[in-house]
Amino acid sequence: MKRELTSARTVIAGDASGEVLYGTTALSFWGGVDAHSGCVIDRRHNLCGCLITGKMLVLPRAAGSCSTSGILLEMIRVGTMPAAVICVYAEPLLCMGSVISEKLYGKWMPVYTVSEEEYALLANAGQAEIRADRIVITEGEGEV
Amino acid sequence: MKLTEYERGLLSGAQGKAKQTAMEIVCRMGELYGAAELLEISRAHLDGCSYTAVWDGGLEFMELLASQGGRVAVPTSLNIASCDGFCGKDFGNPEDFTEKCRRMEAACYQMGCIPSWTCASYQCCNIPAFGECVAFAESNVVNFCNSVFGARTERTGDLVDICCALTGRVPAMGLYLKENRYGTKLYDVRGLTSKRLEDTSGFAALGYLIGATAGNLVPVVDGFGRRITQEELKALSAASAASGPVGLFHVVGTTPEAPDLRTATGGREVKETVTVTDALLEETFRGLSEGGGTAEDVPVDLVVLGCPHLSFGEFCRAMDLLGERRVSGGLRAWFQTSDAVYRLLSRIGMVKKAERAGIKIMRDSCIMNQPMDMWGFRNVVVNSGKMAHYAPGNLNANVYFRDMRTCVETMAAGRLVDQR
Repeated sequence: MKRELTSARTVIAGDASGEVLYGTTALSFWGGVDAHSGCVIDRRHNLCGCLITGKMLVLPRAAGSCSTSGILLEMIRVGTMPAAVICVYAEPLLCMGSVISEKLYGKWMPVYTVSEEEYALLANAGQAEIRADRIVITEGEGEV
Repeated sequence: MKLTEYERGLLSGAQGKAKQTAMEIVCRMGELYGAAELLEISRAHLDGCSYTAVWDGGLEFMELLASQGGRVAVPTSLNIASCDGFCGKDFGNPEDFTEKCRRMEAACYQMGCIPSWTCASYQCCNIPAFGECVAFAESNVVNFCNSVFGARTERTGDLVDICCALTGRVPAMGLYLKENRYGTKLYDVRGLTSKRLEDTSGFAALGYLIGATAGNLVPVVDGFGRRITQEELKALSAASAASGPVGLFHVVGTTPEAPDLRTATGGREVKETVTVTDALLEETFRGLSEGGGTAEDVPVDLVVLGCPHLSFGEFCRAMDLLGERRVSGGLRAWFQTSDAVYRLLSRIGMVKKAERAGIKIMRDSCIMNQPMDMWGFRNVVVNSGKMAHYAPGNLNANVYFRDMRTCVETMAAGRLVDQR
């Protein structure tokens, strides 16, 4: 079943689609993700061991480290970044790596925010698609 | 955003390409976050100077800005490097990795940065005053300077930091604005009697709990019967900025924006309250140890003190606890600190004493920011909540979070010695 996330707000625009990876807690990219493999290494995070490359990464927000921006820049440079990040709060240290990457390489990662309620809905989403600043999710796996 | 003539000049390239690029990035950040204007900063602290925080992408960016003639507009200190500038070989840094660190160092110096190379720049090198508007990066430096000094900084992203330093500007948003600094989540510690709080590790555990539960709110801690020391605040600050998105907290009766609860909250009702019990603190403390095994059968590879970098006092306290004993059992004991503190320690013979005892001192850097695979560490003992948080992922090792006394006893005994 498809559903549009009506609370979607554009932070860094871009079309993207793919499998949803749902993070239940904030994630730091530094010390939480291996920049070169694209794997989550934060043992306390529910996505530990998952590959975020090319995925629609859903998080409440980024966690502590300011180095998240540098790690994201490197991930975009080498191509291990998520397809997009959808979160409730997109703080500067999460977004600015994408902004700087656009300036340096002409490549960036889209970032969108949604409400707390729609963030909760994303827990059941198998796929998400961002097109022209609208987010449509496909719930479950083949459920009606 | 309203820009001044000076700011428009930067944007047009009047002060060169590097500052133009930097200004474009600062302005974009302002636009993204609805800032009405930019603010002047008086200081900056870079975290994007650590190679392993930004890798080749970041190194390229720093070298580009330096080669375009970029010079920082304000006193700009540096967080840790990805290698000890004196003993990198002793820690196993590969040659090509060391070369990248050297290039990063050169770029930073070319742009006029202060060679502080420490995550405890608030212990020396770059100390802001109350209300001073600065662009600081690195989660523990941000949290400490906002909270303990009442300076104002956002959680500046790596590489955005150099842009702020080059332009001397930040967007007026977030924690730069008074209305965003009031305490909105109360942590009531009146009932705490735990002996864990007799050591900074207890404050690290408290900080970890705060960071993990604060959400989007500004924590205000109330109920301590005494002023909390800077070293206790350092541990609390570092841990809370690691476990969650905390960039500012208040401790009523200690931190300058919180002489009393009413001032800390701006007279408003807090949104949430947590009663911190001894049981909750203990659960958090124990939860910071990631690993199995009983005290006797854990083969400890490494004991690390100094996350954030040890102060002069902390280093001396650890040596005091060790007494005339030496590190034994084949484990390694590494103490991390700044070059500035190292020189103070060296002057009173403390460096020689530590080295004779078998302790290795790491300057400028941290094991969290260097390749450590070659060491094969499996069981690491630490007294830092921040390191306990990151070490399992970064080192792929089991971490045992203990107080300083236990860490030192472990060093001397050559095995994990749990204090009871």
